[in-house]
Amino acid sequence: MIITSYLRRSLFKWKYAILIILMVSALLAALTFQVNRWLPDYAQSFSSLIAQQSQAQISFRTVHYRFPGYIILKNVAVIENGQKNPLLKANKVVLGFSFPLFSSAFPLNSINVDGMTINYPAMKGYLTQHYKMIYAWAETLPKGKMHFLAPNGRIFLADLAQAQAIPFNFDLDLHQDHINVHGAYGNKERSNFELKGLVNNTGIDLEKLTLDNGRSSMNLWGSWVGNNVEWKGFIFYNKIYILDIDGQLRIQKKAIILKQLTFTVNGDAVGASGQCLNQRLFQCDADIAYWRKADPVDPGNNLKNINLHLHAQNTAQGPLLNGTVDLGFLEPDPYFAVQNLHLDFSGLKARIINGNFLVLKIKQLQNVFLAQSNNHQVLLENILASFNLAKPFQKIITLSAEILGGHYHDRISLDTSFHPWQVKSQGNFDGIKAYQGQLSGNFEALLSKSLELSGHIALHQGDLNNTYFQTWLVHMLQMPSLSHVNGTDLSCRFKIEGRSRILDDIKLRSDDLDLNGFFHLDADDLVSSQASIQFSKNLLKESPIGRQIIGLVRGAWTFPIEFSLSGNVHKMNFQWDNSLLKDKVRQHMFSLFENMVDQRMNARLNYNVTIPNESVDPE
Amino acid sequence: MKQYVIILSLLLQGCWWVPCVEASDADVKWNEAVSSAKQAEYDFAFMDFNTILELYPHSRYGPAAEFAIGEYYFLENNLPMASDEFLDFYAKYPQHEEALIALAYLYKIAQTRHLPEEMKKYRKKAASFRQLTFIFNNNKYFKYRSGFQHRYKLVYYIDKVELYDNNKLFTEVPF
Repeated sequence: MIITSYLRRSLFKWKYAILIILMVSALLAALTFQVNRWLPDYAQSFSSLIAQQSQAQISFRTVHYRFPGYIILKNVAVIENGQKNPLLKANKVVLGFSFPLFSSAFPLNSINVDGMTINYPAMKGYLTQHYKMIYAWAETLPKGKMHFLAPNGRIFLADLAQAQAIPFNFDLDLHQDHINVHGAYGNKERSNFELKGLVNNTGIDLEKLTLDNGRSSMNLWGSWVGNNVEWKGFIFYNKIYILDIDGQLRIQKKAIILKQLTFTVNGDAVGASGQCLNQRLFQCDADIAYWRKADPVDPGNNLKNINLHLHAQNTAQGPLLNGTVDLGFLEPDPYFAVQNLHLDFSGLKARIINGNFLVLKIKQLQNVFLAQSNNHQVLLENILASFNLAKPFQKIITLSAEILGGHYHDRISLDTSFHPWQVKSQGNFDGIKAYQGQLSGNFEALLSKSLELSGHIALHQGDLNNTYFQTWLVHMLQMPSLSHVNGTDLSCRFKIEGRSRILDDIKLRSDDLDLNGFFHLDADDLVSSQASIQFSKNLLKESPIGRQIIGLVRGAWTFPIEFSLSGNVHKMNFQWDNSLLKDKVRQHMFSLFENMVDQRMNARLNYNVTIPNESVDPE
Repeated sequence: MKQYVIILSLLLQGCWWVPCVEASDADVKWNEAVSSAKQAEYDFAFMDFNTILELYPHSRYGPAAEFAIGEYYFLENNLPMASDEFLDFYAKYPQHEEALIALAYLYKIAQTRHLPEEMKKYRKKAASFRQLTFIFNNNKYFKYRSGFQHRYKLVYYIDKVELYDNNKLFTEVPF
């Protein structure tokens, strides 16, 4: 009885509860139905209003309301007025509202754009044209709390139909003046980013801008107040440490002025300043300087500093670049390396073909360099260089130029996937006017931590004057006319590895001289060399020792003199190797006289040094 | 006046007398050192050579005594100290032929201690020591008897130096 009574009372309560629920549901359904009926028309008219103000049309396939405060739009597209391709598309946009009853702020408090697709070129064009209007509109927005989510987004850097898309997502929080964004982008190498800042009436204080993909990272902070932008920070990129970044930029009505930008790259200092026009970024002047840290000195790389001045201007044929580059070197190598280099180039044009090829044309490139204490000038004309940019860390450059009446061709591959970068080069040259003759040859170069260069070089009918080898030979044999040798054919294979130099298969022919041999100089300046040299009768007669040999051996000038060199390059030891001529001379000499000749030669070479005693015994 | 002349001449004679006495003492000390070395009393020899360096550094035995100090440390297998002494000797007497013997020692010590950079350094110095010309002979030599009675023979070739100690090849410095 009690149970029956209880069940009856409970059933009564349930009946009411269900009735209330049904009534509320009906009310909500009616409300939702009414809102959904009214919403498309409202959204359409709202869209038209936005289109008038923002110069962009918002279209969507469906729009509906979801309890308690969400409006859901599907297949949304934003198209700039008068354009065909959309700036932005999204599969679904969910707008979240808070009811004014519960919040006094702007009712829109969240936007979730799923599957956002951005057409970068169109978006860039739109923002460039309408950024002032957008900024003014943003200023009118009430400062409340806003959460903007964009999962599963993609950005097309080029045409939507052709280019590959880069996926991205972000999560943006706006609260009063604070802005906080974090997200990620990238295909294979996914990069995370985060931005924190404070937006106020005069600009933005950037607390933090970070970018990180596990291998590289960037940390920047600074401010944008009025027309002045300042930033500081550091970057780690593939074992390259860019530290102490300090930049100051001023944005004026017509120009953007880089007041200063300084940073260090693995300890080496870099500084830059310049300006460019607002509307034409290629109309610019820039000064860039690089100073290598003094310590520790890398024996394979003696670069000291680079100074670069660029002047670019827009012409009817596109941007045109003129400029100068100055390179200075530490501890210049006295034998081969350039001590300093000044490059003056004019008429540089750059063009990108199919997004993969950068083609550079330089009308003139004047090189002035100091080598072996002599100033040299080389003019290169009509230089054509093309860069294959298809692979992100590998660049292939083909280079051709007219140089000193001849032609030069080079194929260079640059690998920047690791540090230090690796440059490989294969080149050849011919018909170059040098040493009053014609120079031709080919080479292979590998430049990474140090330089490795090898190849073959030939000089046809050239004049050799006072080269290091000539000076040494003139002093050694007392043949003054050897200082100048005209009409020389010279060829050899060469190899340079760091500080060591190798010359093999040396062949030097002139009317008075015939030389064959090799000359190796190691990294410690130690020489290893063997050669055979044959002089004309006139030349042999010039030398006192030559005259004596002529006196002893009939037709001595028809025999080659075989010799070896060794020791320090500045104090080379000389040995007359065994040969037919030496045997013939020996036949006419006593042992005592041989010793006297040796002692005399040594006395002449060992400046201010006494000949060693046979025995020094303190007892 | 005569008295002053006599006094002055006596003073001058006194000044002359002092180095004569020094030279004589240095001779005695040198002979003692060599005698100790011959009897294989190396520690006593070392002390005598050291005394020469302390008391008669500018005597004719100075360089030889200094070389002997390096030799002593080498004989005692104290290679770092031997290296320091030979380096000092080379720096003080770079024009003496014995300096090249010191360099050969330094090369040998660096080789024993497995110091390739040091070996390179001494090899380079040995290569720059003299500029030589070999027209009819392919070598030149220099002989030296040290305080410890080692008979050294240094043989120069165009691309190496060989050091013989009591007719045995001690080391070869190629360059």
